[in-house]
Amino acid sequence: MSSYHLDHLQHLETEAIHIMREVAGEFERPALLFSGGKDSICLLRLAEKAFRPSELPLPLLNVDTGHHFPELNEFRDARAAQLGAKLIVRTVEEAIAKGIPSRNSNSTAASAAPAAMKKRPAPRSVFSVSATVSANGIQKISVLKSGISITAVSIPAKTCACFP
Amino acid sequence: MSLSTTSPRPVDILRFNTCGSVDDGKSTLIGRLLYDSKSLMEDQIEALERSADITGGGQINLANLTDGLRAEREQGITIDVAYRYFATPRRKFIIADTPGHVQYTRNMVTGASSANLSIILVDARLGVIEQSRRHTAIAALLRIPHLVVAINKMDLVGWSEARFLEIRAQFEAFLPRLDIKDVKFIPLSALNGDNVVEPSPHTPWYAGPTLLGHLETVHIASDFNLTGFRLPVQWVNRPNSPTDAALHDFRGFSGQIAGGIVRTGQKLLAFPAGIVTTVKQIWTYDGVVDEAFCPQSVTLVLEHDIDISRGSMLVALDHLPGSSCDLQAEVCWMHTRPLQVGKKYFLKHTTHTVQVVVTELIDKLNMSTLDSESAPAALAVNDIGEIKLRAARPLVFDGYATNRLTGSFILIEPGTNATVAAGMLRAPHDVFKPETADYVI
Ligand SMILES: Nc1nc2c(ncn2[C@@H]2O[C@H](COP(=O)(O)OP(=O)(O)O)[C@@H](O)[C@H]2O)c(=O)[nH]1
Ligand SMILES: [Mg+2]
Repeated sequence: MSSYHLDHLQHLETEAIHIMREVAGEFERPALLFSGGKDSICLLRLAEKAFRPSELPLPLLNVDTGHHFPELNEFRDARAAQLGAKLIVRTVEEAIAKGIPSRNSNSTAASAAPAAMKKRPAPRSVFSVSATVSANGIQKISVLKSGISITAVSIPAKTCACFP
Repeated sequence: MSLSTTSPRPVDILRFNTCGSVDDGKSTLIGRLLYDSKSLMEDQIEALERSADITGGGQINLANLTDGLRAEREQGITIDVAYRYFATPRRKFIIADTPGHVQYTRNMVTGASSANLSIILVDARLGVIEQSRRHTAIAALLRIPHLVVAINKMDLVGWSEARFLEIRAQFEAFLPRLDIKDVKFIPLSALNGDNVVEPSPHTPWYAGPTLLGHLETVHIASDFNLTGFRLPVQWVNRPNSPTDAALHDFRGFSGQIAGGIVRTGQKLLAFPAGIVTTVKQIWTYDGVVDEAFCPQSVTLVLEHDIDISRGSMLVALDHLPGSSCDLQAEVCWMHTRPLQVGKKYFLKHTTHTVQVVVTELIDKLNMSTLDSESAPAALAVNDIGEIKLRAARPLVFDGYATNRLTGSFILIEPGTNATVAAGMLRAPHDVFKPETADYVI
């Protein structure tokens, strides 16, 4: 390597890995949101880049809205199994049946979920990591700490360790 | 290859933030940049145009665009900084957009801590006010390499060149007191788009670039330091049941390189153990590499089995950092409870947190005159001052002027976990001094 230069995507990647490792290093019960869609496939690969050759130090979490294509769920399960990752799947019905009290929604995952789900408080100390992927590559990755207060750390926003 | 030949290449992402008082036009300016650079999604544009018909007499409300997107994203929670992305064929841009509520110093520091450039907005009718000086002082303190003073609402002062020059002179009167390398003054109207993306027909007397033109061309060298390897350890990588038997004894130290370059076979000093070891392997997901550099995220495998965990730091032997319990730093105070001598905080520095006590308030910047006042009684919210701290355990650090990553910290209030200050360390008095033959290279 004669030139010490990272291109745009390499830059985003190195910061995404930094954030994932901070989450693993600082929090008790982190989780990685994984639906099997393109955004979460990208995140899962970033998690591999952050933690291999170890096992992923955080389980995969998916909220099944019941509106996904069956192929997507199959892929989600197969991919988790292939990587030896722990996968937690919860459904919206469970939340409705439990009559989970409504509160301000506070995770990006909630914005994609149906109304009943949106009212469900995110579990304390769960971290959600989300990414937006477009034809140009990764546009944005954000890590949201749900439950207490939320700090958005977007990639490539260098909210470096020093100014979280 | 020697380090002196490694001139940093220009980066292809420009990160900037906007600062100004409420109503100076920050939201309008960001909206204008996104709209005129055609960085919006179709549905966002449609929604804007729809709302223009209903409420705006046909005029699009660009501030609504910025603030609307933010509100949508926040959904009732507080986000300190929202990052917006846009691109032109020449460059990619990231705007750190901070809500303009009272804690503006905190927001500015958070938004600007990684910025290459800050835009200071000034309302042409009001000229330089105290906050303009404060924002400029913070930008200088954070060593943001480029400043743009955007003199906005020029339409409301009749596009007067005299007014533009007067405000520029107000700035130039205090700029020499601050350490800022590059400042550009641009007259504009965020509302009408003059000199934002398109040159204005109203400013024939202004020969400089438009704001976007400047953002596209300003030379941004990487501010990552390639001298003096530093790896704050984030996470110990130790597989429990690796699929590959060869990795059974794998023990790697993962982190993002905060300075310098590392090579296989290189000797490193591990803090706080104070033991010299050698790099056996530089592991990345995409394969083992012979060398890696700041700001790459890597995993290092070392020759010796020494006690290293999250918060440890691996450093090069040729550029040793400081290691001391006594620290001196410039701080931006962000909390309504003031900083006073004798108070205790947690200091978070890279991946390491240590207890500190404030031992001295050296001075405080007077925002009206930009003079420093010695030995103030306290630092209040939004104050900038220089302090001394004593840490319970030695901190391994560099001066902020040498390394923005290993030279900065935050202070956290025990009990509330509130972030109360951002700090920039002064260079250490002495670098770490090896005491035994072990340390000799
Ligand atoms: N005449 C004029 N008004 C402006 C200009 N830029 C912003 N404004 C107006 O100033 C007000 C405050 O703008 P806004 O963008 O919300 O300011 P912020 O508080 O800094 O985000 C709004 O009514 C804008 O329409 C400008 O260049 N000219
Ligand atoms: Mg605003």
